[in-house]
Amino acid sequence: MKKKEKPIKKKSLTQKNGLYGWFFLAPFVVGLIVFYLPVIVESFRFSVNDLSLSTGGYSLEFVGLKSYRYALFTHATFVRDTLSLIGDLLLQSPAIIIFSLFIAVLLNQEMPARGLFRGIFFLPVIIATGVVLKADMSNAMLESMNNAGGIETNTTVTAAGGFDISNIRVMLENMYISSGAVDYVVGLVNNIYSVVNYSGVQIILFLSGLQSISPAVYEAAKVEGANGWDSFWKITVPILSPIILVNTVYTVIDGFTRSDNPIMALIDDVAFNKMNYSASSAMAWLYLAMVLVILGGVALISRRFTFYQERD
Amino acid sequence: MKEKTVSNRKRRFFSSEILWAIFRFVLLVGLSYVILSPFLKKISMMFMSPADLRNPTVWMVPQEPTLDNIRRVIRYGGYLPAFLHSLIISTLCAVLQTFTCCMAGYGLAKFKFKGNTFLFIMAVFTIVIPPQTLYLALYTRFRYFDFFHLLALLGIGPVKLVETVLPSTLLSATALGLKNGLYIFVMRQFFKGVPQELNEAAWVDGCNPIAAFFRIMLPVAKPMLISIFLLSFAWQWTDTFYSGLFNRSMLVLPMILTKVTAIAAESISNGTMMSSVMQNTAVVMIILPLFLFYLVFQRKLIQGIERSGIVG
Repeated sequence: MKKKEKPIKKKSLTQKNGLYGWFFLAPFVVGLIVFYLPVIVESFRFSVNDLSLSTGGYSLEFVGLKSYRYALFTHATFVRDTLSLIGDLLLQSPAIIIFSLFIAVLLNQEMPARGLFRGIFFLPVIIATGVVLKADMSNAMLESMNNAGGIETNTTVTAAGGFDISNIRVMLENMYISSGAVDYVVGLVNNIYSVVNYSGVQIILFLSGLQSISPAVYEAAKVEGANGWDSFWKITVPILSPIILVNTVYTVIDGFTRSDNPIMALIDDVAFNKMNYSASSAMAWLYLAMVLVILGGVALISRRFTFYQERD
Repeated sequence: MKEKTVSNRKRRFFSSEILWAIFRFVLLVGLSYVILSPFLKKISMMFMSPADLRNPTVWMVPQEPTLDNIRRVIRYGGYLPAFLHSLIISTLCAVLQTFTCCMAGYGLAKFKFKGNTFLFIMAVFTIVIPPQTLYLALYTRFRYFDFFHLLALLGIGPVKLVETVLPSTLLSATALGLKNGLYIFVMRQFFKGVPQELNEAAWVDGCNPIAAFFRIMLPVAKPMLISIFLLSFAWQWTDTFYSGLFNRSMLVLPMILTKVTAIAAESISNGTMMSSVMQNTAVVMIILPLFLFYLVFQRKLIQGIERSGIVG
């Protein structure tokens, strides 16, 4: 009897205060109504209309799903490139999550020069914004210096800094690890530059998630006889799991919307070089729908593994 | 006998600690090199004189170091006013964004009301849609700003908001700036991890939810808020998308890149070489303040801020 009473009381209080939620969301809701939704609707209208730019604005002519049919069936590379991109990202995303969690745990430990290391691992966030990329695009001098030696920063290179990766491959294969797994690891090692550079935001978020775990919890676990491995899996991972979910979703979204990925480049190219805004919008919307489906999948899977400090 | 095993265990413990520290250090130094190597080249080029650039025996360390490149960026690129503008805009936007996203995240995490799930999905939706997709629609929205034809009815007509700081400010104040969906998501996940008991205790004691948010929840969320502020500041600092779209007339730091390149190309002999040197110098000068800014702020990201009453 007593047990039953409590949740009812809590529910009524939370319900009573439920409307305060609108207060906290007010700025966002206003923004959605005034700025965002009209813009979204506009962009969607571009995709079902033929848009022609004229002096002082643009005119639209309704064409229905023509642009969508063009993107799906007529365009030579859109569908193929999109599918191969999905494959690549599904392989890369887990690596980014694991790597950034690992680095965040390292950067959270006491050590000399910790601040400097944290600063260095913040740089990928800046690199990801594209300002560096923009500067490097037409950079003759840097190219010649890159050729002169040092680590290669492009992703297609097969041997990083003169280190022969085939030795590792042979070693791993001799250990009877399946060639699929070997390919995956070798691919990651080759792409260490991009894995590191795509992990910037994730590291920062994990790091601040780690800050909010009270050291007292770890002490208690240690007194009870847990080692580092136990407390990582039994304390750190569950408490961080909400942040792991954000990072997973963000990694997927970032992978799909990064300006250096082939589809985004294609969408930009169709819009600004080929001047076909309608086809570009249609592609963007199709692409978006697909990303949303994938995110839905991620959300369904992660729901089972995410732990919230809630009683219900 | 017993004492001996204890001391043995202790010794083993210490040696494994040291091994781990060494391993960690080597790993972090290696990864730092991966991140820093492109910057090291840029920094060395920053101090090179034309003679060094032409000399094939010079690698990384200039023989005749010079500050001319930096002086040129300051003088021709308009570095100082751009720096000031960027500082103002980035601080303004980052403060607004951190605050509104924190509020929105809190509202989504801690209040049950109709539309909660829908608003959450909208927040994620805003990061999934790449801003490039909305380029044209966003521009026209702020170029001919009107609110459901209300302004036109009042006789003011559509207002031109571009070429002012208003579009960026308004978008930030309504949690719709760059990557704001991510911040809302992060804050929601973070507050979901904070026990609802903390809120209920305050509510039962007669504190209304708004006061409880400011007095209890904001202090708890401090590490997360710092990270979001840093991310938001960094993105605003290097943003070319919104500044190029809304406010071309105001010189901000990323714009000096194109400016110095153009100047170097037309005014100095062997222009292509100088323009890439100028670009590198400008990139370093854009990123360096951000790096220092992070180094100062990361000190606040220290585990051990006692979160009274919150134990996992």
